[in-house]
Amino acid sequence: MERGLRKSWTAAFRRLSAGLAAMTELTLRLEGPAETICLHGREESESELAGTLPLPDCFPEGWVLRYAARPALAGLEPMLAGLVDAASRLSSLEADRQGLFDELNSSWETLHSVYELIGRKEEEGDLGSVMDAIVARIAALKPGTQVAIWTLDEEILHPAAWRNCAMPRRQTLGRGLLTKAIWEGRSLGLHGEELREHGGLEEEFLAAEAVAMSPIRGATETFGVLAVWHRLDLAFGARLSALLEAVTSHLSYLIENDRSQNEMAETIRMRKEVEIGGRIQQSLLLGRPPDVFPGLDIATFSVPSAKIDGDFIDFFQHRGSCLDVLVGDVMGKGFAAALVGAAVKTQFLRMGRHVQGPHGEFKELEPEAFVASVHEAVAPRLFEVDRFVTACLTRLDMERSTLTYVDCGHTDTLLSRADGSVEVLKEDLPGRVNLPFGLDARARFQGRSVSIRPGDVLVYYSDGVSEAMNAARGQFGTEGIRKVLEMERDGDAHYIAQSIIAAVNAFAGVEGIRDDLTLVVIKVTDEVGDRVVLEQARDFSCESGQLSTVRDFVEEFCGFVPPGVLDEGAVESMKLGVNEAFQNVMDHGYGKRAEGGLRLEAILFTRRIVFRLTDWGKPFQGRSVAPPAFDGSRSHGFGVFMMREVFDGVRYQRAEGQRNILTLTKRFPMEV
Amino acid sequence: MQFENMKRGNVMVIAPKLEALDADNVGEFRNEMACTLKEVKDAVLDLENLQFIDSSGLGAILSFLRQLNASEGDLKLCGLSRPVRAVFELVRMHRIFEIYSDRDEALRSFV
Repeated sequence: MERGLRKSWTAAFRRLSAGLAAMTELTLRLEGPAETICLHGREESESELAGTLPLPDCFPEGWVLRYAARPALAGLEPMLAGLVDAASRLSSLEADRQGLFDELNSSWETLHSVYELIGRKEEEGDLGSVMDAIVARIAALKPGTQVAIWTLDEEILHPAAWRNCAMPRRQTLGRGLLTKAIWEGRSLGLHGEELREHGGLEEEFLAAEAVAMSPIRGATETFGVLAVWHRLDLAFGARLSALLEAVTSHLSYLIENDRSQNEMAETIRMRKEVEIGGRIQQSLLLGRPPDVFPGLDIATFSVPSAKIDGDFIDFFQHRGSCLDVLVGDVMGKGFAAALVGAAVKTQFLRMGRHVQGPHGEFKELEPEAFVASVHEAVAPRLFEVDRFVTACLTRLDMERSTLTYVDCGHTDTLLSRADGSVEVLKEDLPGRVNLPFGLDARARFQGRSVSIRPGDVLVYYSDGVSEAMNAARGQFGTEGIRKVLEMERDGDAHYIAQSIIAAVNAFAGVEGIRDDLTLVVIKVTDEVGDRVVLEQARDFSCESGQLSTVRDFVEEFCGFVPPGVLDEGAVESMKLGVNEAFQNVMDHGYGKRAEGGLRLEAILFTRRIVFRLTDWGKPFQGRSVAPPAFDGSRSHGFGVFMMREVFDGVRYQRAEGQRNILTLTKRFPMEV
Repeated sequence: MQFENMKRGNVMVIAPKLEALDADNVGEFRNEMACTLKEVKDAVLDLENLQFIDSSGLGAILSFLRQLNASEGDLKLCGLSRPVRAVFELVRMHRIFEIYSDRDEALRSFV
């Protein structure tokens, strides 16, 4: 083990990882067979250390880098591996520099100049000012000395700092001396005859009698060149060469360091971008189903991944009894895919909204024509950007109890029948397969209709669900979804969706989920034909003393229910249930703060009554719900139980806009 | 909050003039009751006027029962309106409390 090298590696790594350590609680340790060096974090905390990385060759066998982060940081390992590399590059440069100084040590005078040149500048971060200082110091070594530094970028030399001369030219690599020094990777010194005979000399050196230069070389690339020239034939000797080499070596060290820091900043910036992308996807691509749709119980579920992709979902409500469900996926990942997804989705939205019948009346297109018109509009654009899109449009017509779908090469939508059988919604007749969007401008689209009955369950899913992998590289597949449906199809849509997600997670196990999981579960309820009769809403502030007003609202609204529909005591019990829900939000959602507000909506359907309570407080997760003690041993915990007893359905949703929506449903024994 | 309390022998009859007992007024109710129950072993809570009670009101009454039970006394209920009784039944509290139709019946049960 080279002690000096290890020391410089450790110092470089510590410096480079400081930014990372600031982002999260990071523990980093170098561990050898008999020794541990703590780089960041605490010495103890054995159990939290998440993993190890190999170390470069300057460490002897058996040494590793142990790391842990709390909270866990996605992509930590590759980031650390990058830092290990960067530190190795820096430390080998550092070692070179050290060797050079050792050599220079034989000449006290030169060594002194070098220290004078670079010693004090080490602390200053800005590369430009370091270069300025270097050329100033070198120019001052002897009157008339001209100095310049060029930096190299894509075969072009850009002037970066100069003294005692006009601004040097920006030039491409060619035949001149600068190019020679860069190609040969070593310092050069020419003067007198020798210099004049050199072909392709740079303009800057035409009047010079002596020129010396040294490339600024990093571990893997050349960053530029430092040149010194004079009108007098000074016969620049080995001493100046050694000085220039020392300076350029130092410069390359600073540049490498600077780049590593920038790379780190870039990595952090990209992670932020991915996060933002995830949010864009959630809001732009994943539409929300209507809060209430008669005859349908709809649940959507989405777990975003670090990747951005083009999965999209939307719901279009045409008439009171017709709901279109659009699911799609853009081939490919990244922002471009997300934008294409958003564009296609928007086109559906536009076409769905702006179709008028022959007499100017609003009329929705039949699903096949709907899909065809969208394709006609987007296909040329898709050809331009060379993308294609799979999609499936389903129209659920609750009045006619039918489902019409137009599948364009999308993942197989599953329809689980009330009797337990599962159908795949796919146009799979030979020669009648609809193509994905963007493959054929003249593509035709055919749909198919099937009847639907209460108890049927529709499952749409992104390929992240079906293609989730386990450790044995098996896929969850539609088989996995079918298995969940077999067991859990009696639950409501929300429960089924959660069961599928839980099964995917269990299947993937330690492998984890890499892709977005997007899932829509729609259950046909026995409320087909259920219509909205009346809606009312009232807003409340978040102050105590309003419970009696809440109960009055419930009582008044229940007055609209025709006599004989509700059981005796039903109104009283609903007053209690809504009272409890309201108080629960006040206590837990807002934590007894007098901020925000609550909105209470009441909706009377022909077959049920729904109270919906919206608040802008804390999400329900973490709001404690202890089961009640019926033996009288505890005097609290009855509220939620009462709510569930009183209503047939109690559903909580966390919705966009940081809303909590609690939906309380009471079914009628008979139709209104 | 008005109460019409009276002492019958060793038993305190507590009669809050209250139409609704909910989270908004339960604090005041608790305070009043705590004062009344300070020197009492046995009590009858007459809820004749009460038309609505929620979980917090029920919780308060339950805690008074436990308080009196702890000092070997008892809290009996009477005069429950139909909706109030329904709430007690909803959470099975009619099995925990002795509930009588009127205060005379409740008082007789202490003899």
